[in-house]
Amino acid sequence: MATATTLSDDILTTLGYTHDDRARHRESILFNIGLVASRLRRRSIDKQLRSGSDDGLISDATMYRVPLFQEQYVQDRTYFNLPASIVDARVNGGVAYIRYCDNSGCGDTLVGKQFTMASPNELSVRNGMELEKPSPSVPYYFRARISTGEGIITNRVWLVGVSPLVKCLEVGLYLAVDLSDPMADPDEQLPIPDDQVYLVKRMVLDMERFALLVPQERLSNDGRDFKVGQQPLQPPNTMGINAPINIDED
Amino acid sequence: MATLNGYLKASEVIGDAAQAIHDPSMVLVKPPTYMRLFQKALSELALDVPFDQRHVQLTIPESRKVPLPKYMSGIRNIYVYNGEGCDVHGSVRVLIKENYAHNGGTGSFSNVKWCNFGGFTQDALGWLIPYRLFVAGISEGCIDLNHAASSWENMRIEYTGLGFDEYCQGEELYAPMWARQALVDRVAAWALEIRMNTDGKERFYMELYRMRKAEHDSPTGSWMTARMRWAMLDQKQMQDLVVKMTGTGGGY
Repeated sequence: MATATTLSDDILTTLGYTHDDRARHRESILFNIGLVASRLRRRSIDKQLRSGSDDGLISDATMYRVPLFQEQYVQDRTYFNLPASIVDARVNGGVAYIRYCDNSGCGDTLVGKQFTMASPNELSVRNGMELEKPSPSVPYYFRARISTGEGIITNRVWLVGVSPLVKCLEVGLYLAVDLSDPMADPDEQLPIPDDQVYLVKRMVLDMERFALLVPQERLSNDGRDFKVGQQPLQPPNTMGINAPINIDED
Repeated sequence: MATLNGYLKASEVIGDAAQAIHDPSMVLVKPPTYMRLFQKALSELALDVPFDQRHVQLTIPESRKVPLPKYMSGIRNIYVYNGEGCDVHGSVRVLIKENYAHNGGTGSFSNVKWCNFGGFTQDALGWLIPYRLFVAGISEGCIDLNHAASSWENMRIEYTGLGFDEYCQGEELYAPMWARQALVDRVAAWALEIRMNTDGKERFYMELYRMRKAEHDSPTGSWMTARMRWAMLDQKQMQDLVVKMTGTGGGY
């Protein structure tokens, strides 16, 4: 429904910036659209996962087949590299699922078996419980950065309990809205569900209004540039986390 | 494990429980945790009603201290016997005497050093005592048989199954059909305890928790219903008893 061009032009028009020397430009509007869309997506995924019905999320996940590697720096622990930037959902870390796939080197009985997210601390507890101990049939994953002395690597998902013979896995990921180049193709559909375009527009308008009010041209910071009785312009309240727009069912 | 038909896979119970607590994808309570809770509920049921009876046969060492498998719980009967194929007539029941222990010799440690000679019953019946009385105590993971059991080679222990998680690790778990709802309710209640800790909607889930827990605690709940169903399996024995008492003039 909305492309980068239509939504950003609409917001610019709403703000009255239709002229060439306007204070805000399409690039900055699109960057803000990216910020808001990412936040809405993360919130939407978390809410649906907790709602008892996450059927609507199926179309949000993107499926990949990823190769596995071993990191010598941490006792040959198995990992895969995230093929794209993902949403940082609280419930599952943005990973919709990880499962064994066929022709991957795992036994036939394991194909389709899902991985479970658990932090390293949690895993140390689960190690003491026979039915929850990490094993090829009870595999776990977690996300963590690693510093190997050659810089910090941030895009790895670590696997626990998986056999080194397994060469690849099938993963479903909730992709984050890509902010790296919002103008790559301005006529492409924005990755925002149609019913959330209203929320994005409203939240971006709030951000734009705030941005326009902050940089007042002050000649000195002790008030001598103000007339007697003049009050500095107060920016509008920023949106609280309990604002209705933030606690609706979307 | 299943010695009868009519058993369900664990996934049937776990899937029901996950939907009951609004976690159909098992992201809030994790799949291995559901499995552990199911095993826990099943082992409780196995202790309440001996539906899963098992046995293990062990060779009695010279010291008469028989190491118990560490997964064992709910011992019901112990027998000693000779030979490979056990002739029922050749087996003898072993009586458990608490605090009985020995160091491998003929003497023993026990609270009451009961002298088997001169007992009223034994004298009256003319039994050969103590040579036909086999006593055992359990200490430090071993069953200590008394000296009278020296002439026996093997021991058979009957117990109820599903003692500890470790034993079930390599075993596929099944739920008896007659206890299906009881197990769903039990797993759901425990899973809700976990979910209430990780989620913010305590009041809603507390209501669900109360409902599921009541099914376990209430005399008319699913847990007691399952036990009642198990007790019905015993009705033939009760009928036999009635016939016997009627036939011998005992009345109803």
